[in-house]
Amino acid sequence: MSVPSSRTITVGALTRVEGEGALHIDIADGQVAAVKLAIFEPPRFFEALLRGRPLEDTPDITARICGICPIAYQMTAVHALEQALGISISSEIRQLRRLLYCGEWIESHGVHMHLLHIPDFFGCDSALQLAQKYPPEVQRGLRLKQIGNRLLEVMGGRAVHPINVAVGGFYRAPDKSQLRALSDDFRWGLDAAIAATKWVSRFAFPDFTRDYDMVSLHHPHEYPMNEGEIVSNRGLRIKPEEFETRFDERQVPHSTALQAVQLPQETAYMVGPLARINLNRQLLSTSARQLSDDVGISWPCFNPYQSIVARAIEVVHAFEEGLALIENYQGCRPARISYNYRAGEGAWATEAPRGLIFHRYQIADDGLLLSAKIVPPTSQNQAQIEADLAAYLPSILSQDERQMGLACERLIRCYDPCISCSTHFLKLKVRRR
Amino acid sequence: MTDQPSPKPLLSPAVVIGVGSPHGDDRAGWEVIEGLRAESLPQVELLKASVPHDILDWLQPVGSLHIVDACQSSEGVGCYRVVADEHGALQIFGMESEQEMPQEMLVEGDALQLRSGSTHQLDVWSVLQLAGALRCLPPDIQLWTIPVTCSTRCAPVGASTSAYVAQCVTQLRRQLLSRHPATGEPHSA
Repeated sequence: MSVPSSRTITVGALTRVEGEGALHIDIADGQVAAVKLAIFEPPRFFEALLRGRPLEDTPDITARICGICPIAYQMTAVHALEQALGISISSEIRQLRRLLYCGEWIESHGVHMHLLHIPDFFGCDSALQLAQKYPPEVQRGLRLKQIGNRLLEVMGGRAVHPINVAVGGFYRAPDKSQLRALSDDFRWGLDAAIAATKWVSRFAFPDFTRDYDMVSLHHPHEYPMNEGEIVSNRGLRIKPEEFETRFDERQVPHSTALQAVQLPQETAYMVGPLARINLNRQLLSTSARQLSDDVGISWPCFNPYQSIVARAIEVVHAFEEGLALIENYQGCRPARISYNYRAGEGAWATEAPRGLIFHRYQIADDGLLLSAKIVPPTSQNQAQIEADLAAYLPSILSQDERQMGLACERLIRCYDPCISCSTHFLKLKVRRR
Repeated sequence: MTDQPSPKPLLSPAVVIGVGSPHGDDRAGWEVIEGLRAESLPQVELLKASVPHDILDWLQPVGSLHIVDACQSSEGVGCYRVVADEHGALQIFGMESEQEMPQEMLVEGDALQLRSGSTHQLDVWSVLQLAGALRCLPPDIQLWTIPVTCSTRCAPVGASTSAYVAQCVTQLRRQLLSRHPATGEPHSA
């Protein structure tokens, strides 16, 4: 087939990702000249919305940034504010917060895997087509998601924008009986997650690897969720409050979403499950760690298409750790640590399902917020996604625009981008010259 | 295939799910749920969903399912009956005053322009189609639509949408109370 040496490809609304986005590609003389991932969501104003509000409003407001991962925003916010106030939470509160995060990882990863990403590996245009081919596997995935949501409901007060998370702990600790009632579901979920991991690990993965800079939290004793230093596979090791010394968000002309880069070199980097497992595999739960040995991947892994295996392994971890936390739970008193207002500043990072998330807050001595900064994982992956596309496109330039658009979407979906929360911030348009 | 956990007892004879977000008129589905909660309806489970695929968590075992979502429409409050055939494929019929409309009122689900349509491409209609393919839809499904105009971030519902919400609450309440309170079966004539 004769292909013009220069063209512009535009992907309209990117399918099967959260929010709305489009992709513009310029090809000149047969070479990829530019790749621009454009975000059309209105600029996020939550940082401005928080200014002047009581700090206790922060968990509720930040949870509204994303309907898929509200816990990630709440956890990062309360930890940052507790640092500003000099609050030390109890080990019981700490464990409950890990359990809450387990629920969100299960729910978010479950949805992305079974409804958004797995269809790509079977040539399906939608989760519906996948369900018609593999109904038991999709039902299993939906049941996993349901269990994750059930935990969020028990712990968070409700599944929709959980209301139980508070600065200092929780407004109400769950009863032992409430959590123990989830034990059977978690045992089933652990087995099901292991089966799902074995299934996805056998998919045919495109041969596409890159020498990524990968960034995640690292904790000396546990798989990272709420605490740890920020590390990379290039030797970076900093405290979360030093985030802005090594990473910066930039406005790009083609998108209302900010893009993060590493400093001082201003290069892209990757966050998310693949980065987490590459940097913390030894700290996975027993079954998850064993699975990571058995799935046929040589770690560290640098193929973004295999991020789905990383997600699946993390679902196993979340079920296994969640089950242990549930069975060992003896109550939590007090549910919330009291505190006094003081002027100060706090910064924290946690691991959202999609990757590292960073918050910084300044508070006045009357408990009102002076400023807020929120850096979600998807904005940190934006530059890397564009770089991946630029590297991938030469291999598919001979395809027609529809096929190119689909291939680009499949690569983007490896990152599970949550575009609507990356703006604080696939109409594939191809221009050939 | 791992065995499923033991079946749960009947969630409720009737479940109403309001789909929405905290942003402006997109709150419509949630506002309907709040309105129904004030009515203290017996034998009815009222739930809020922030994303349509959460509906999949609450499909079984349910006798009668009502889903409320915002939509882009110049018409008033809409009520549609969703019917699955033996293959799980769905058809949707417009309804008026709880009476099923003739065949010519058959509408395409995609044409409903539900506001939740932009999320993951898993809008309410796609979610119902998915559930149909998995044979996990309850026998009685009604989709209620609220016309909306503006979804400003973190803003309350607008005045015109509030009026439609109130209308939907009234219509839904009437329909739910017309069911037999103990079994959820319709009153016999």
